[in-house]
Amino acid sequence: MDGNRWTVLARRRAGSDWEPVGEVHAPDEDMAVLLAKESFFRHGEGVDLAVARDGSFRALGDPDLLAFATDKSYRLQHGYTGLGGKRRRAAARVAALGARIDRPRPEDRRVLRERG
Amino acid sequence: MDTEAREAEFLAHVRAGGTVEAGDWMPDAYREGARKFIEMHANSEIMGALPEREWIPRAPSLRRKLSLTAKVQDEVGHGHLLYRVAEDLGKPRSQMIADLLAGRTKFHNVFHYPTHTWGDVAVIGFLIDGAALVNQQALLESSYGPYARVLTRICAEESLHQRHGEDLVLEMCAGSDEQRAMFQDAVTRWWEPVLHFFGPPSRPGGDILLHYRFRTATNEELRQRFFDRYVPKLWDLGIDVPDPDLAYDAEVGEWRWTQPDWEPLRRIARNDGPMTAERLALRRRLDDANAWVRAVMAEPEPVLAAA
Repeated sequence: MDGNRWTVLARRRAGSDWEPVGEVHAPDEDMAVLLAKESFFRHGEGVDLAVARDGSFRALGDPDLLAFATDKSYRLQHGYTGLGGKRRRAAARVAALGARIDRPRPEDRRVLRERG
Repeated sequence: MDTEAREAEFLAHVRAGGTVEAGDWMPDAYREGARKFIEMHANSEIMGALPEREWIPRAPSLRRKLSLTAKVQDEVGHGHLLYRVAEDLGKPRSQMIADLLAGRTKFHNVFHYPTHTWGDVAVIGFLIDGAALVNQQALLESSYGPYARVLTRICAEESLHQRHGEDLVLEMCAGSDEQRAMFQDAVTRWWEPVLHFFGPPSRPGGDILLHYRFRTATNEELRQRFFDRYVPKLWDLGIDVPDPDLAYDAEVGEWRWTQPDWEPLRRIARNDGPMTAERLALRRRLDDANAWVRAVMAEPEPVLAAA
C-alpha cells in the first residue's frame, strides 16, 4: 500500500463520466491536483479532473482551472494548421530551384498502407 | 503445472495475440527483457529532452521557444509514464535513475550526439521523432498490455511533435539558400545515427522480444517503414541523404541502402559517444539541484501523538 499514490480521473467533456487516466505520487491533495494537471491535461484532454486516494475524492470542479491562461495553441494539433499551405510554398521554392530529387521510390500511398 | 508447460502456454497465448498484465505469470526472460527495453525507452525520453533543451534559449522566435519548451516537457512526461510501467516489472524507479546517472544503463544512440545548429532541431523534430514514432506505433501491438496502453498516449503526443517538426522543416526548406543549406548539412550529419537508431539487421530467431511478440517488427522492417515515409518527403524538398545508392527496388519491394560503419553505435552502447559524458554530467547536476523537490514531495513524517 503506497499512501502517496493517487488515481487521476478525467471528465473528457461536460457531462461525460469520470474516466481513469493515470496515477501520480504526491504528499497531499493540492499537490496531487497540481501534478495531475501538469502530467495529464497539457493538451486539452478534459474539462475537469479528479484525484482519488483511499476512498477520498477531490474534483477540480471549475473548467476555468483547466483552461489555458495564455495562448498555448502550440500544445494543440490546431496550433500547427496551415501545413498544407507551407508544403505548397516549400514545393514552389524547390521547383524554382529545380532541386527535387527524383530517384526510385515506392509507387503510391497504397504501397505505404500495406507496409504499415 | 510445471514450468515448461507454463512457458508453452504463455508462448501460445502471446503468439495468438493475447496480452500480458503486470500481475500475470510470465517467464523470467520475458520479464527481464521487457523491463530492460522499457527502462531504456524511459531513459531515452529523459536524455532525449537534453539536446532540444539546449536550443530553448537560442530558438529564433518566442513561438518557437514556447513550442520547444512544451515538447521538452512532453518528453520528460513520457519518461515518467514509462518508468512507472518499468517499475511494475520489479525494479524501483530510484534504482533506474541511479543506474542511468552512473552510466550503468543505456539510452538511445541519437541522444549521444551534439546539436550544432537550428537545422539539428528540425532534424530531431522531423526525422528522429519520425523514427521513434515508427518504432512506437509498431509497439502499440505489443503483447505487454501496460506498455501498449501507455504508448497510446505517447504516440498521440508524438504525432503532435511530428507536425511541429514538419513545420520547422518546411520553413527552412521554403526559406533562403542559407536556411536550406543549414537543414541539408544537419540531415547529412544525422543520416548515419538515424540508420544506427534501428539497430543492425536482427538475427533471425535471435531476438527474445520478437519471440514473445513483445516487439512486433524486426529492425529491418522498421527501418524500411521509416524510408517509406520520410525519404520521399526529403527528396521532394530537394534534400539529399549521404547515400547515393539509396533507392526503392520495386521488384524486391524494399529499399536498397548502404550499410554504415557500425563501430560508432558499438561505442555508444558502451556509453562512449561524442556527448555521453557531458549529457550525463548535466543530468547529474540537475538531479542534485532538484534533490530538495524530491524531499518535499516525499511522504510526510507521521505526526507523533502528543504524550
